[in-house]
Amino acid sequence: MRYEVIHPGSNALVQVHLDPYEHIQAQAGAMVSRSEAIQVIGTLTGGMWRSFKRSALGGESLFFQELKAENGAGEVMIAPAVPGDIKVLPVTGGQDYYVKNGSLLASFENVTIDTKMQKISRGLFSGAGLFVIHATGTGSIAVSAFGALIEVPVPAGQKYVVDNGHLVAWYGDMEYRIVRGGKSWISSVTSGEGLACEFTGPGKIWMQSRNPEAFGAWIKTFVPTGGGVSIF
Amino acid sequence: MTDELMRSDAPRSYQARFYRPNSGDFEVVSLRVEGHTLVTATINGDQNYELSDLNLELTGQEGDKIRLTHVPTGTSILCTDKHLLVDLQQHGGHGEIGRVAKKAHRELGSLPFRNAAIIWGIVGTIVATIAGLIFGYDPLVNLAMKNIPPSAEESIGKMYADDEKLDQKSEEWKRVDRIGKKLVSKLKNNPYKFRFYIEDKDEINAYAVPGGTIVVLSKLVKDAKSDDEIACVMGHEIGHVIHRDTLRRLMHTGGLGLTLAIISGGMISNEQIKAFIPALQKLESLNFSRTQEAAADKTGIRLTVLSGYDGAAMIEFFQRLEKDRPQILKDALAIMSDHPMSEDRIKMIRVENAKAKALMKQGKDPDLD
Repeated sequence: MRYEVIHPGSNALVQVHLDPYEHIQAQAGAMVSRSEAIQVIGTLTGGMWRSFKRSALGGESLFFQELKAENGAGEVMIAPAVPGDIKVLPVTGGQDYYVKNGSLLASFENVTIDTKMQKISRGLFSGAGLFVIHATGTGSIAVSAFGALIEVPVPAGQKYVVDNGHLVAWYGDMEYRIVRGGKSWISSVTSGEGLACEFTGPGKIWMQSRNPEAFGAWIKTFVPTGGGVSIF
Repeated sequence: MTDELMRSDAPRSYQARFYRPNSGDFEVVSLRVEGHTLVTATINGDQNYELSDLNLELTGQEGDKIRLTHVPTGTSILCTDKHLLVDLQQHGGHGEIGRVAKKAHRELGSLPFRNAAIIWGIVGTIVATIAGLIFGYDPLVNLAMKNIPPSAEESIGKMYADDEKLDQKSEEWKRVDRIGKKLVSKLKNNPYKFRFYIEDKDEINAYAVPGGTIVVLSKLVKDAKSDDEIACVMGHEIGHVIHRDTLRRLMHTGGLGLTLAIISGGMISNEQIKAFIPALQKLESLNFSRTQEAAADKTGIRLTVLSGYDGAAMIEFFQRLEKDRPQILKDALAIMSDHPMSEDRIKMIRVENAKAKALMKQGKDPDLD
């Protein structure tokens, strides 16, 4: 199996070459194209309970699609719904990853995808949601971003603060806590920075250059609204 | 497992991640404890660390990672295998590392129970919140409503009635206005200034907004077989207005968002509140809506009969609606509908119609409260 990110940047997609009988798991609806040898199978990856947790709690699709080279070697391309970059991260050495809801595009080889509950304070205020996606095992995962995807290594003992709307993924080795975006509560509110996640190294964080919620709120200002109350 | 490890002669090896000082990148290493030394097998060969030079702590997102920091160099080694703690406990003896390893091993063992307790705590809180909303919210809303005068209700209603979409000119409107005026003329102590409108929509429905505005959808007027049927529907909506049901519903819905905002100290974003509200609102409103709909039916039928219309027309109207709906939709409505099931409504309407007519024959007016 070989995989690479092609057209990196705002129009990135992942091209995967599969040897006979190899397969990958991709988010439902992520497939762009495939060669004839590839079969697409809707699957409850990890079983019913894990799939339910991933869907109901993690905001991911209930069904992952399994793309399998059933009839010889083949090629498949996958892409996320939003414009932005993709990175393939190696899952190795017992290193696990936490991925924000909706940012996991695909998993390769023997990676298990599950949902983990965060501490209440983190879940409510981190912007990652109460439940996050947890990837373990051996292989790789592809994560997608809204905008550019930036990798930040954080050495042991050092701290790094990420605005909660820009968080994508982080090493399971890292710890984080919720902090004010500004120096005081007043400056946090007036600066528009609100709350942020403070990570402690060692480890790596991946961030997206654009905040999807902020972008959605901006779009909403141009959408006309209306409504009524029908009660009979 | 502890005894088994202690009996084993060959040192057990563990997979770990080796972070050099000032680096966020790791190297996968093999780890073992030999005597008072921690041995790490890296690509550059073995490196030995005195156990007394190591600082041990639990870290990571879940607090389930064992982190060993070599204090003199700042090197960090992270491992997920909790048996490493048993080795460190055994080889560290009564020293600091042995004591901390023992404590960390205990903490790791209790981690699954702690997580389960948190999950059950959340489930319990959600159940308690829903129960509180169903059983405890109504009295608070009723108390608040006493302080809202009908004039304020009228102002709130104006925000909901879109004048641009509403008709007060057509022949259909003249018919609806005539029937509506006849109905409200029978209300005693009426604080509302009722206004009737037609909205051009291909749907059999009508709605009331707070303060006395009643909107009948055009298809309902076109499909009505008689003035009696229109009067029954309008009587039902007038019932909602005099019971202040639409205001109550607005306060319930708005109150949910406000309650979450107050509880969180305003720190939960609107997006997060929006994610919680629909499910709670639907559950919370089920009982509330069914009760209010049944009360509006009673008042509506009594008012219809008092105004000289036939309340039984409502039954024909419902039977026609039922015939038009597919079975699957009927089943869905029975579970999650805002309205009582039609068969139950028909029975109740029949009884109320008969009662009201009997009272009228005796020269008495049916009670509209």
